[in-house]
Amino acid sequence: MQRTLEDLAYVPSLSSDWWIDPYRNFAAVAERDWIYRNDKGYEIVRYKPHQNLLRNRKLSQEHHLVAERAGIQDPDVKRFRTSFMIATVGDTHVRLRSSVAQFFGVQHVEHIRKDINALIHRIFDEVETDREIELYDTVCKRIPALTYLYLIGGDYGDEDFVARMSDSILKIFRADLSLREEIEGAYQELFEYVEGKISEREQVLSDDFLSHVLRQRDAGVLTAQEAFDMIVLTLEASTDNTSHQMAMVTSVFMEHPDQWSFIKEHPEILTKAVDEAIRYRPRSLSNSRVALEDLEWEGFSIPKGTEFFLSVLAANRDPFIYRNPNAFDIHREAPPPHQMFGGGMTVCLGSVLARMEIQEFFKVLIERYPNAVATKPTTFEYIPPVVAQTCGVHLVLEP
Amino acid sequence: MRVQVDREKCIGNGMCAALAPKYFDIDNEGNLIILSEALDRGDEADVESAIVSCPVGAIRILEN
Repeated sequence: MQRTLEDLAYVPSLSSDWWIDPYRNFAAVAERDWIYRNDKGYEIVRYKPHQNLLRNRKLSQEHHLVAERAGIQDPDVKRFRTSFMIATVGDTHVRLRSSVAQFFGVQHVEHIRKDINALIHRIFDEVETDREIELYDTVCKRIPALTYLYLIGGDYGDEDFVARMSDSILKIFRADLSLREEIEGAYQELFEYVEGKISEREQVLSDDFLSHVLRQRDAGVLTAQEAFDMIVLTLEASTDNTSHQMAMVTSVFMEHPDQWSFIKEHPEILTKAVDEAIRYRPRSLSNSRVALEDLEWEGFSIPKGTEFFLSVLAANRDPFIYRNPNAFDIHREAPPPHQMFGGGMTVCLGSVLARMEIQEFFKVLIERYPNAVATKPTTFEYIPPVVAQTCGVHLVLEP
Repeated sequence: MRVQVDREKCIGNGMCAALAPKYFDIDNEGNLIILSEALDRGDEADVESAIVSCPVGAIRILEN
């Protein structure tokens, strides 16, 4: 059936009111149609068309506007933001991605699992367990920062530096012109740090990620600039989302004490339980796509440049895909993959690593503090249309 | 030996098509096309590299 984009009903899915109760709002509109107009483009509220658009090669992520919207003027930062892997499409994207895909693949991530487990133990060793803690700042936030240093063979003493870089750089997504100097300054510091790490590592290559990237450079797969950009990019891509998702999964487990008890008795179910918790409460609210050319899709004529907001919240609770979608249930049989990490050519490259970090976090928590309990309900903050996060997860580790 | 893909897991990322183009392709809709199931002698390294680079671990080699 031929329909036109102009005829679609409107949803205020980018307004703050919508995010007071987003699950109810998405479920209500998904009963009537699967695509809507919003204030900037089109909102997809069902799983199948979401998956379909993620995979379609005539669309890609909208990324080059991020630096522009944040008012970035520093030419080095501008260059980085418009040529790093995430900003590329087509053959260049495939070449950059395939140069590091093996490192982030299932087999290699399994290989480094025990090292990440040891890192997490190291963090818990420093936690004071005789009082209530706020888990995000005390533990979750530290795991990806130390993991990044592990990947580049850095000194763990640089943890605070890495955390500070990550905090400042990710402010670029706020599109707030008053933050420009802080963001540009952090990038310059990080560029200098990465340059130093590359010169150090060049002397003796090892089996870390930095060495892998330098070998790709030496083999002519990556240029020196591309290798440098990959190391810089890995910092901002590996930190916030992983640590916030970890805290969000913790909140889900704590809200479901019967299933949490089952997980503690059967830790082999952790892989499945973590993914179910991510489906139920994803950090990413929305995947984005923009049409790279004019195209026909599902009866619509779509002009080049059209922006789509693929709701992860709506897809992850689509009743046509998941039975009883609003229930958290670690015993679902072979659930279709949730949409939290995107899909298609630009699926999150670190998704296997991020999941492993979260799984190992819970393994260590269960091993050391099986009686950990939440001291108050977790509340959440939505930063639409991109991410959600907890306003802290308060626990007593040894009650 | 045969190349096998778990289509329930496949997300159309296309690393396989980039690394072992003799065996895998991805169409414009992101659907995986297996060009050849039978693994030829000498191509093991390419297919192995596709296997370890697949972000969802959907590819494997079956012994005859």
